[in-house]
Amino acid sequence: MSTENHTTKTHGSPLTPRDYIKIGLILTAITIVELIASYIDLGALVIPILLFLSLIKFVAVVALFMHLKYEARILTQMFTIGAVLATCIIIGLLVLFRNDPSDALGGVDPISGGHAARLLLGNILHI
Amino acid sequence: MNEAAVHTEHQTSTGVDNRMLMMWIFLASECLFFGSLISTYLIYQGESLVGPLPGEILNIPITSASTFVLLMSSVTMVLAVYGAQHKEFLMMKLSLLSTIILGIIFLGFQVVEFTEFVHHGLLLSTNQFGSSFYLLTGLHGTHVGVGVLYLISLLIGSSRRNGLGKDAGLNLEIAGLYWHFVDIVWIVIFTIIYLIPS
Repeated sequence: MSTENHTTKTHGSPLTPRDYIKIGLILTAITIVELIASYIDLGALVIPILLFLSLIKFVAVVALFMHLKYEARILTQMFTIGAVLATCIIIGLLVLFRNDPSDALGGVDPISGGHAARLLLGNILHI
Repeated sequence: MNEAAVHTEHQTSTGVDNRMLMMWIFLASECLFFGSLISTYLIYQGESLVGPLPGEILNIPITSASTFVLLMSSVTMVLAVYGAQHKEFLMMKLSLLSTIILGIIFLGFQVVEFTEFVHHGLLLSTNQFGSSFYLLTGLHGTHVGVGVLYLISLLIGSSRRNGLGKDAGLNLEIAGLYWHFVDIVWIVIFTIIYLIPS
């Protein structure tokens, strides 16, 4: 086992307050686009579009506000493992319950019709 | 005070400060926590046998305003971190105070929303939507509340004679990581609960 130690160092972000405010405004603009997209009838495209816009905001905050882009690689790996596992949990559980005929409360049809899991998976994974 | 006690810079086998590494590992575990809650919400969505249903009571314009508030709090938080790292302490304190105020406003929006829902007859035990909605957004709100208390403690600490000490930049950055994480969780919740049609 290596006994080599490294002095901890700060991986400073080159961004200035002006940059941060610009990023904040861009994120606000994306939120407004999301809002408009949710009101317009885009059919089956609405869910992929909203998830994509949400992903852009997620990555921007993590990379630029949380400075992950400028930090040591081990931190990126650590957070990516958690985020990927969480995504796998969501997809895994949705697939599991989507294929379980008993999930509609013992065969009683729900009054609200659409099932989010089916909707999401049907549009994204085409299954 | 001996030299070893004064020397705060330490060595790790990863080259990353242990406190920073701990916070990132904590946030990775929080991804799993919220991932499970979001899954539960999605599985239960559309399964309610009695109302009120999401389409009947969710107030998207109001929630959009609270989303904007939380987004702006992330901007003020990153400015506070910048101030601490560049020894601009007035900027740091003002930005920290702004973040706290914006966090409290966000919580206020959530209290108003929950109160309105209760008046419409949606309780934790009313239907699957109520239980999964209150659990997910309530636990997110709890995280915001903890974050506000965390930032208040840092603001009080920064007002002392020695401020936040030599590690002010690191302390603020670690608090900022937590705050930004709360923001990105809301980005996902806002899209899944409010924007994606049920």
